[in-house]
Amino acid sequence: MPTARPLDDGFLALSYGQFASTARNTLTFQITPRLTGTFRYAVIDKLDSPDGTRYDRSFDVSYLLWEEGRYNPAIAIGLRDLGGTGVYSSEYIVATKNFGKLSGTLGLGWGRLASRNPFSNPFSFVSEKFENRPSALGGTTGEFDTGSWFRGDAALFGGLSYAVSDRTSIAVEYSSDTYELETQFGGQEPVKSPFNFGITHRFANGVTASGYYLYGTDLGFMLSYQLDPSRPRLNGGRDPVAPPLAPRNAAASLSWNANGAEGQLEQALEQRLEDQGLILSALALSGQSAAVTVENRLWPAEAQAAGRAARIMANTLPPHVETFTIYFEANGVALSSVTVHRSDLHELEFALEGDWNMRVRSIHGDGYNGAPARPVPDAYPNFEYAIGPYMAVALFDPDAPLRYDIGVQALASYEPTAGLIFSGGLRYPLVSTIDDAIRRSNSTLPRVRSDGFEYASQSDLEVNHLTAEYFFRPAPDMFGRVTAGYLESMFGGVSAEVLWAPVDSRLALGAEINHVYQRNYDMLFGFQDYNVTTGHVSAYYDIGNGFHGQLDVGRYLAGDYGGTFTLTRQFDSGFRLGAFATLTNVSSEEFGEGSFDKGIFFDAPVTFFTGRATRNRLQRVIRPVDRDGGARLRVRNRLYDMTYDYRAGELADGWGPFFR
Amino acid sequence: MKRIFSLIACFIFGLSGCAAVTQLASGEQELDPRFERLFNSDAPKYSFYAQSSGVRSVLVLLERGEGTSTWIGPFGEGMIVRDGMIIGTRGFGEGLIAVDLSEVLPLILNSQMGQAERFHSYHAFGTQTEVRAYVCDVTPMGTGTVLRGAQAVSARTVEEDCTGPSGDFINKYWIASGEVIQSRQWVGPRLGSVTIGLQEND
Repeated sequence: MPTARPLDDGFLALSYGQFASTARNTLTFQITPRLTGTFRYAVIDKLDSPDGTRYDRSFDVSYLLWEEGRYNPAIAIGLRDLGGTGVYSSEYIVATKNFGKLSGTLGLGWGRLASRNPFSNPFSFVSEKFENRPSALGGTTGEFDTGSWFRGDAALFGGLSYAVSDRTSIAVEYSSDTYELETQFGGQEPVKSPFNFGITHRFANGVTASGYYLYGTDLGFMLSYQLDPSRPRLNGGRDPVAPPLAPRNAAASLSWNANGAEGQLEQALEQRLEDQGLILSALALSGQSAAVTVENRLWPAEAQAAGRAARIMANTLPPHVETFTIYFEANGVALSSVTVHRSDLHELEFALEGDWNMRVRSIHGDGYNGAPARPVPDAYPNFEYAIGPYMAVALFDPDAPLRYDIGVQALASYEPTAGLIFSGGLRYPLVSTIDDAIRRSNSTLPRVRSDGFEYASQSDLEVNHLTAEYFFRPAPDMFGRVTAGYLESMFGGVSAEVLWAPVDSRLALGAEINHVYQRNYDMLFGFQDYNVTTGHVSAYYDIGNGFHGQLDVGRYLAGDYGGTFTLTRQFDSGFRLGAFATLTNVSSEEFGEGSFDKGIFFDAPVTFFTGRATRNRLQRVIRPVDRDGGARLRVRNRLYDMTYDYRAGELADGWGPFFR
Repeated sequence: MKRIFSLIACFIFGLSGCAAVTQLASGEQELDPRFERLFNSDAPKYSFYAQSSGVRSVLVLLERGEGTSTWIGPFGEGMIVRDGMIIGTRGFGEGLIAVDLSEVLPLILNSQMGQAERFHSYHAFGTQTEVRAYVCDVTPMGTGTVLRGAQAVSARTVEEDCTGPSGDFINKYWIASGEVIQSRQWVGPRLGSVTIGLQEND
């Protein structure tokens, strides 16, 4: 039963529940204080036939219309299963009010929520159209069935819950849902009573467990967990203490400063930075200024990397050097710069509001030109490789909710000079259930993505990518990339991109053009006949309050034209959650199941959970189905992602960790 | 429960998820090489005892700055001290960034009765910091004895009773020859009070 009570703003809730023939997993996100979104993955036995199992994905949204006051209840409006396959298709308006320990809910439901004691739709006074509800199950799945929302008969539902203690509550509800679909093939016994009874207990570790007696026939349970993405598990962090500043005059007596041996100084600096996860690629000393170019391999917050680099410079460079500029680079190009004064470091290292004062007194630069030109002797050529296990996961295949590959992968890169990178990635799956999939694509479009199973089943050793990349800065505020070779598992060719992203700007613009050939299913070196020119122009905008919008308009892999809109909510903790939808000139019939490409994603820094510094992130895109319409090339190292963390807007948002 | 979480994380995120959760579940930490090197030297050391967690440890002097000193624990935890007073912690999972002691410090070091303010700044959620203010009553408590190694040292004791909107705490200091040689000081809500004592070098 829905209630009018949202989660706390920004909270994420996960739940698993089971009763009779239904198992339900939900992921709920409080998108704004009033808007709630839920993704539901249900496994229902005997829904469509006496021996079939339905794996059903659906989305719900609800909106709090009126907050609870002293006399008035909270009132919310909600849509269930608005873009899915229609099993849970329903709408409601609901009111909830607290009376001390007692809380009461009364609601009006449509669709599935109007299957018990329905009466004619009160909205039919407005228009006769509301009297009848078109069958959702008969329509094309995945479309937003606006035509049926709040249509047809309505029914009342309601309930009471009573808080026995701070952690335990009991509840009774009157349900207007008769589970017609679940009971028709005997997956669930016919509902005997509209009354359900439940008890809920919240444990100290944040897990909530509930037990129910439902519909006079079944027992059920649910486990749920709430997470606040704005609050890292260990707020204070577990990072080893930064090298503290030694008195400034102590730097004079360091051997390399005493005898003026610049080579020795360079080596000492390189070693000390490396101990802090910062790879030095260039150093320039002139008069009272020093500049370094470093790649941050460890710190999730760039301000923290800047703070550590600055302290190491202060403990290593001759005492007369006053101004430090740190250029951050990735793939051989400078992404941004931070300039600080040595005397400020000494003054503010342990000052009460040192981080904030440091932010005011430092300069965030674009990093274009100005970076030290001469690399340190062993910076280039740079060869790196890694061999290790990997695990790839495919979720929500219609025949099995989870498929995976476990195997060995090798990655190698060779960078002869700054910005030019030859790299490759190979995988050899040892255990795979992905290639057990039996469904073959029924797509009428060029099969640019829906042949994924063919790639999995017809390959042994996979060449995941094998490319030459060149990164450059064509002008201030601009970045460029050219990539050629086997760009991704399914496509090879050439890709070129430019990005305009001024420091401190809310807006960034980009353009990308690619000409690609579809690779053979064996994922080795051959190509199929299909080739396409695809590309997009993109706008990225920092809306404020942690919301970021992205619009990509252009031509997709199947040759279709259209646009993708992505909305992301980012927390200061580095946690990101978002949703995207792509509409192209492919009709929903041509697109097939799902009608158009859409999905949700989350992206959390590992350090959020462990408190230890690492740049690793946990990322997952959840797409109801992977089809061929609105599909984009998955080229590596797109410029916006590469520069995002380092452009000064982000650096300024996260200046707090400078002295951590 | 942790096992279930780790299994879920593995399957949703692949190996990076597994690794993160395994690290989280085991609580395993690496010895900091700087601590290892200094522990076996004659660098000054503090004994360290955190009341709430029961953790006993040793902190070794890592660096003396201008008026401050930074001490490092076995796993890289850092404690920053000025005149025997804790003015910062790092890596304890309690981010005490800095403390402004300019008002209370003279009262404590001079064993003088009086009222003064102190300010703490903490890592707030995400990347921000948060300042908390306390009003403290400093009271000299007479003379006591502190064990330093095998030797009993006579020390003046001072209590500092602090109240603030975000909590109350009582600190206690043992002072000999103008130096705080032992103390019990409140760090923050997670770490609680810690007792530190300068160790006598053998």
